Amino acid sequence: MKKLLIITLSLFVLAGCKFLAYQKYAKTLSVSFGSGGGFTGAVDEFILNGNGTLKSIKPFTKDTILLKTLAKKDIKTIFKTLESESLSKIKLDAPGNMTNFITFSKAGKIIQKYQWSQGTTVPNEINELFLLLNKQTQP
Amino acid sequence: MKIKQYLLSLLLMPFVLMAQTPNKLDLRTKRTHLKNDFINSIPVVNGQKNTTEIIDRKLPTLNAIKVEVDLRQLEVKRIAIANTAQATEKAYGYLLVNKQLVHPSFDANQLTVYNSELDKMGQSHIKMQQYYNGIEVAGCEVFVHFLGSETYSHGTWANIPNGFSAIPTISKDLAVDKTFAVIQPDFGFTVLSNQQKVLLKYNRPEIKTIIAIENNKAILCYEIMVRPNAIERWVALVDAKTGEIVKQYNNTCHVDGPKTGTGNDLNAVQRSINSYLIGSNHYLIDATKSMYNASQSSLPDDPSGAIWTLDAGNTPATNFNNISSTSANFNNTKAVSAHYNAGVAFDYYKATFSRNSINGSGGTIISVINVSDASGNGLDNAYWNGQFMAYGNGKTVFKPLAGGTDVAGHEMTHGVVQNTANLEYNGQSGAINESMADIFGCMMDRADWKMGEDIVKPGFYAGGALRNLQDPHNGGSSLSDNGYQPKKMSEYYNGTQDNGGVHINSGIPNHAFYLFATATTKEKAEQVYYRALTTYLTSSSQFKDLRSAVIQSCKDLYSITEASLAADAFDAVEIYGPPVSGGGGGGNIGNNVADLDPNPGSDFILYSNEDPASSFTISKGTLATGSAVGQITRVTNRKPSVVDDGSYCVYVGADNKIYSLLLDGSKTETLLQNQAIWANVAISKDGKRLAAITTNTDTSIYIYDFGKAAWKSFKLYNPTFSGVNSGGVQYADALEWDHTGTKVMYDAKSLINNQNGTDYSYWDVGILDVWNLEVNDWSFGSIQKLFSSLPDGISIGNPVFSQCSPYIVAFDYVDGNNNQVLVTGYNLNTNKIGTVFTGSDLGFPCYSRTDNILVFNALNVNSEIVVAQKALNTDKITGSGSATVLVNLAKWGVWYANGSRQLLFNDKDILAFAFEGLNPQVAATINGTNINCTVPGNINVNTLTPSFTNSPYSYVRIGSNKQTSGVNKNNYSTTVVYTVVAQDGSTKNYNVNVQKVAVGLSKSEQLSEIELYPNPATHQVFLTSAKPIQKVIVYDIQGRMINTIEGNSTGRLSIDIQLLQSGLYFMTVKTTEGEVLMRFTKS
Repeated sequence: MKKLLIITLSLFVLAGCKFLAYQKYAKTLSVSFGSGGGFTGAVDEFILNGNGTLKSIKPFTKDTILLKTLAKKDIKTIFKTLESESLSKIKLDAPGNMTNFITFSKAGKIIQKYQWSQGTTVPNEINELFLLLNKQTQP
Repeated sequence: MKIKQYLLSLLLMPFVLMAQTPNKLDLRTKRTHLKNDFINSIPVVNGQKNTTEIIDRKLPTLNAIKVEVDLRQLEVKRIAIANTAQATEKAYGYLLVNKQLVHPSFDANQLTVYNSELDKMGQSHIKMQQYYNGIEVAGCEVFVHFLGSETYSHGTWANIPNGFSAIPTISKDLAVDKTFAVIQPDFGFTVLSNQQKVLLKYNRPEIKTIIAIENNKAILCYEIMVRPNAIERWVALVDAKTGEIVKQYNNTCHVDGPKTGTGNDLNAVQRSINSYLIGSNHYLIDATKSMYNASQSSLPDDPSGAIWTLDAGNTPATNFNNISSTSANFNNTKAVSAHYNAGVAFDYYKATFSRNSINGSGGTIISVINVSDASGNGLDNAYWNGQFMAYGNGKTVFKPLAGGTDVAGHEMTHGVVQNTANLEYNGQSGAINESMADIFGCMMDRADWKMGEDIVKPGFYAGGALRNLQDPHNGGSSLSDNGYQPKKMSEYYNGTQDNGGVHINSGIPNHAFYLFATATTKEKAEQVYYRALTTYLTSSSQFKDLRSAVIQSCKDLYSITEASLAADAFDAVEIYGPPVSGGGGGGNIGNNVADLDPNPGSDFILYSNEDPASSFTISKGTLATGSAVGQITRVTNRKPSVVDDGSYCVYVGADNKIYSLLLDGSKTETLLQNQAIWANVAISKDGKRLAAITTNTDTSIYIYDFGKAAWKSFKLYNPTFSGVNSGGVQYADALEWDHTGTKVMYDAKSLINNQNGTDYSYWDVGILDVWNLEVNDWSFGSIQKLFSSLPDGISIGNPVFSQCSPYIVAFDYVDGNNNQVLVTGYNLNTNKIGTVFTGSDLGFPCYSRTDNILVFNALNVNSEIVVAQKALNTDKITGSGSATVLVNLAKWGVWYANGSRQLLFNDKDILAFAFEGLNPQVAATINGTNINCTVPGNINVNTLTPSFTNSPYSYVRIGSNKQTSGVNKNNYSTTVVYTVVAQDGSTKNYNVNVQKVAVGLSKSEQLSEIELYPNPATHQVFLTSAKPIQKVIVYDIQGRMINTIEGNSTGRLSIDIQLLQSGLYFMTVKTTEGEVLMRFTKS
């Protein structure tokens, strides 16, 4: 019984360390997404940081507005998706007159960039991720 | 033997045409979806889901409380019908028994029979109207039919909620007054004469109380019919409790068809609007243009060759609704603007360039208004998405963008670009794409040089417009200022934003156009630019190519005068190039291309044996002798794929496994991959990689690299600029490697869901980038479509590269509209297309060893399949003479040779180097790997931008930084090493040395002491100098030394230039005091 308790505690400690480690790691992550181009060339961009802050960069004025701070589980879901193996295999570089984009960065360095023009058929994984990210921008 | 027999034999008679459809290419075996759990013995290929984008234009269903009645009884129940009364009784009984199948609220007591009929066949039909408390429920009827042994019914039933009050609270007179206040008769209001009243049987408004079902609600209404004049009959539904107008429409019996009315646009200007009347509704469908195709139109939801305006309903273009009016007049200002401006754009292209719509072949032009951003908020933008023009309603900076004619022209021109040069939306080619959109948008709204001046809100742009061709700075001074664009190359934006500055750097070619148009005329300038766009520019064209294309177009259409003015315009924006000369072009246009040496071996042909007397499935013919030898008896799924040296081929057997076969005569067959999942395979010319597809409905192409011993899947997609309404890729079929082994050309089936729910599919061709030679690893899988869009009813497939010209391809062009299959050639560099052969079945073309012949499937006079051949012209894309049979009773001819050759280009030279931005231009001399250049002493060599030309398929870098001619600035105070990297990865370094002239002499002293005249000159030029002239060296614009003239002690020299071609030349004049660079023009 005592042995079991020790093992259980150890697992908790390990799990806790892992979670803390992930939190620390997540703070280096960010994803920017949005769309831009068209007649005006304006870009409507959002940036979600690993600490959960979601900001909007307004076209034309370039004003940055803090929209909200996401819950930790939501952040984890999003960045786990971004780091998933299936997503990392997808290469999508098809800009057009109105281009949607998702740019995933670690410590300021771009890891993955997906861009596609509206009307392009894109992999479901990208579509779902783009929808998920845009969903976060809703009040 | 068969080959020899037919090599010199009969001409092919005209082939029998058979009914074809665009799906003709779909000769594939029936596909199933890839199982998720399929196991691969070699590293894998994961199952891929189809990714089909559905554009759903269905109108929303509104009648939630109405239910459609359909009680078809499958059980046979004979009902003896003697008369209609009996039938009516049976009908009630039948509905009572089955009422739960209609709706829980169904109450037969609400139905009143208004018609019963016993037809000549003894079948009874009972028609019933629903009433609620004695008031008709409009549109809700139930029909019961007794058809011999079967009984069934259908119709519409409304669930009127409990407590619904059927007592009007406003007077009928008030409702009539409201009706007259709201209707807008086309012919106005007139008082009817007594005679007219008798004729029309109309004395006063006719009023009926009904229950209408509108937007899921039951509304007690007065249905009021009025005749405002002797022609029109209007109906209005007025809420009998509130007096609100529920609906009003012109119920006059018109003949459906195009109508013209008016409407005010967003700028409060009344516009003439072409609409289409269907029943009592006018739709914003302009069927008056010459491109309109009535036979292929299904109105109002699928017009062909029309100008069509839709409403996205403040969605991000995910929903589409028709816009209609009960009269030919429209009061929707955004819709009027968008519809009218689309018509202006069509008319402009038609009248100015004889261009038939965006795609050049009468395709419907679609505009969509009320488009929101992804979050459903106002969109401060308008865009072309490859299929339609989308207009936002503005937000912070813009008013509704449909209000700008130049906006419509800009967006529509993106479609024109897409269908012509198809300029890549990135870097300089993307900036040219944007510039073309601005230029032609500006020409459609040609009173000024501004873009978007009608749709910007006051105060945001200092210049009062989004962009300005006359002054790209637009009232700003740097990129941080709203609306600022660079106007010359020294202001070029070199960053990564905006796809490499496509909306930023477009200011430079925009301004060149302005300068050119004001130096000539707008009328000439637009013709020149349209020709440049449609004839000379290619998808990867850069600014220098634009300059050359414009200059050449000037020469084509006008004269050297206009060409010189164009050159001046480009010089002014610092896009430099060779000076204009009377003959030849203005420099290279588009990418430089080169040809491979032909395979030096002997000619062979591999083909599928279709002779039932032969047991062999694949045979090999020797073209020199005409002999043929059977190779295997295994049935193959597709044609074999042969490596470039002809040593072996690969194919997929009928067992769906991959095999290889030695072609050395040993007939050794090897099982390469034993999974029974494959449909087709192709091997790269160098034998390093395989490309394969599975038998499933699979959106991927699988590449196996023998070096890595690994598979990698590449998912296919349709880039937007790859096609109007491109839909989703379903699966690929034909596979063909390019000569580098880095790209796979394929055909693929795409699926589009149309608004009627009937899938439409077509085949087109893409080129998939799978391998990166620079890093010798997998590439990113980007896709370039052979054609950005295909006309309705057209498919292309079975593509092949030519054997020696990497920029030439051939394919089957399946014309479903005319039931033809054209074996077609296409030059990717010039965008020129040609027909080699018109047949009745798929050709599966293949080039001969030297590309002087194309072989393809055809039918002989006995309708037997043969491998035919046809000589090609030197352009390699058009046929010459008649087709003849090469191999009878055969198909899938694959021409190959057994020699070895270099497949990757190793050329890595700098062919020309100059500083064209200096005045005068300075060309360098290239001696071996030394590039020497002498510039005037007052030039700052720390920041110079060179122009250079390097070998085709090579690129240039300094260190690890890639260099773009005419863009990258460098410091030339010391020797700069340029590294040219050939396609095969080999490199060559060039040392660029820039020296200043005349040490000890200032420029002014040089110029004052040496004179050159006349300039321009035809026969000779004279030099006079205060100092003795020791030597003169003459160079051409490319920096090549033309002549050396020894001087004398007099300080006077004449130089004969009669043998020089017209153009700009340079000379270094060496005196006892120093050296000076001068230029002159040979006219």
